[in-house]
Amino acid sequence: MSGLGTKAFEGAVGVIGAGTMGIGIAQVSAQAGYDVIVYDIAEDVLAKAMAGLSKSLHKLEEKGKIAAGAAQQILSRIRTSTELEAFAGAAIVVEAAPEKLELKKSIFQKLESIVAPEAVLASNTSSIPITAVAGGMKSPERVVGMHFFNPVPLMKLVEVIAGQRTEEKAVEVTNAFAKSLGKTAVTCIDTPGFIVNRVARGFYGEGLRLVQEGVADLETIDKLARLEGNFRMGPFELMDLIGIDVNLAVSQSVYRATYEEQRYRPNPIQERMVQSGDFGRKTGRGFYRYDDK
Amino acid sequence: MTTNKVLVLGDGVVAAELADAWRSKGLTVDGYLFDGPIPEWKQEPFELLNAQLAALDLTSYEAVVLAFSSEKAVVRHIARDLEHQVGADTLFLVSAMSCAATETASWLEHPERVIGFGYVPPFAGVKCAELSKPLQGLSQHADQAAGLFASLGVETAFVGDSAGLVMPRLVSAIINEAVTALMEGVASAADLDTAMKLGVNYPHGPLEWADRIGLDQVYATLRGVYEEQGEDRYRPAPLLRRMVLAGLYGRRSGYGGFYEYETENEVTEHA
Repeated sequence: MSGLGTKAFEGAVGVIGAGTMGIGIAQVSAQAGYDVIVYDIAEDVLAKAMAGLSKSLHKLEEKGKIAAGAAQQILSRIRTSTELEAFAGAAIVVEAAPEKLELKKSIFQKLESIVAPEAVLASNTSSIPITAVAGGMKSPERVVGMHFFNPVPLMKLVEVIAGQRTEEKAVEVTNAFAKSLGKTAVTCIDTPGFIVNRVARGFYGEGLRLVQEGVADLETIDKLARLEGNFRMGPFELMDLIGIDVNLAVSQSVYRATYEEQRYRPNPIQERMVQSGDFGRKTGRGFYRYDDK
Repeated sequence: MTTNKVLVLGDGVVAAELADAWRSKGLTVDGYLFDGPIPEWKQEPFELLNAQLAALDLTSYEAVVLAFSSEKAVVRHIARDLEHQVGADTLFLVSAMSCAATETASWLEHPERVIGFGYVPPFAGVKCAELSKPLQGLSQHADQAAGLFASLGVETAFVGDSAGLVMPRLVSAIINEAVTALMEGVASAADLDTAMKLGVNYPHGPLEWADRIGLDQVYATLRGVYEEQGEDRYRPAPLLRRMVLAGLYGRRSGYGGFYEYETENEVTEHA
């Protein structure tokens, strides 16, 4: 992984937000040989995130998953900043700030006067329309969606989303960048849920409907999903892993964004689970019990 | 009861896969397989079928398997004709993938012999299949039906009788969404499939899976669930319907489906 492929460009990679996704994107970029600048609003947030990354990289090194000395080398390529001006020389900036449209819009509007005219501005969003982020900008043609999956170092997929005003060139640069990170990029247009979060809705939605109708209990549905359908996990096991609260939020977002298309209608069972606080594995209890937590 | 002789009638991947599987385990399997759904207005398929059946001793089969994705009227016609020619307690193992077993049973004079079944192709990967009992009274044939799958090394689970049962309905819903996205120009077929395999670890991309199952079967499942539920969420994507009408059933058809198949190893994306 630390071996260098062909870089898509010579300039630096900017990352906005030092949360799980942002740090993951910084890590894979540095591993691919890019100079990386990570921005967040506070020094202590950045210090904590970098300490966490250092720890996990050194652990990978101990286990022999990356070469000896690679951890230090990767870390040396990452700089941090609390000033957006640090991105002046970046070839691409990937924003991984919280999923709030107004926040993303204000970041992008500040960014466009800082970065070089040819720099690509990418938003790592799973639920906000790229067109809305770019709306009102002076140069919306260079704004793309770049949806990484969690955990970033392990998940191979990146969805590259073209908004209404995005030009082909920005999509090409982003695709090449994703490829240089060892990822597989798929391209799609700016529609609710993009590809994965949209097409996967039926897996959970139909599972819930089948339980609701009494066709089968959830254990049987999960078992059939694994033994008949060859899915790695059944819908209920997977919802417990993702978090029922997170899954419901995605369902609600796609449902609303499509003006209440029936196929995406959330199920009252999900809401009841969330009301009870049984979010899945992370709370020790969801559709199944995880008593060791 | 052990089954030694099975009559298999159908029009797609499911009937063909099951007939092959039982034959490979040494059962005597006869039957007639149409390639694709039979329209109600066509006479020749029925004449062909009758000619085939006339050559067989129909009373000698312990089980009849019906796996059609044709229109209901067609399946009803075939099932009712057959009922009088086979033994009165011969098991009718009928696909519940597009129509609840209860509905098939409602066409017959001896509904208590009906058991529904379903699975999602390809059969080679299936370790557990689904069975369902119609509501018309306790079927005496549940064990026999389970035994037919056990003879193939496949476990069975009884689920509530309904159109599409569990996995055929669930997988068809995912495929329908992918076809809708393709139709709307959201992404290419290859990108839609790649996204689902890498983003959420699906065993197959939904569109390549549809090509395996047969677009005719996926369409029949959606149409059946849509009819039973009466809800817009199950409405088959118009593109899926048009592809079935055009004979683009998928991997098995000469025209391909969402992809073209030139040889076993060569796959190209369909325009």
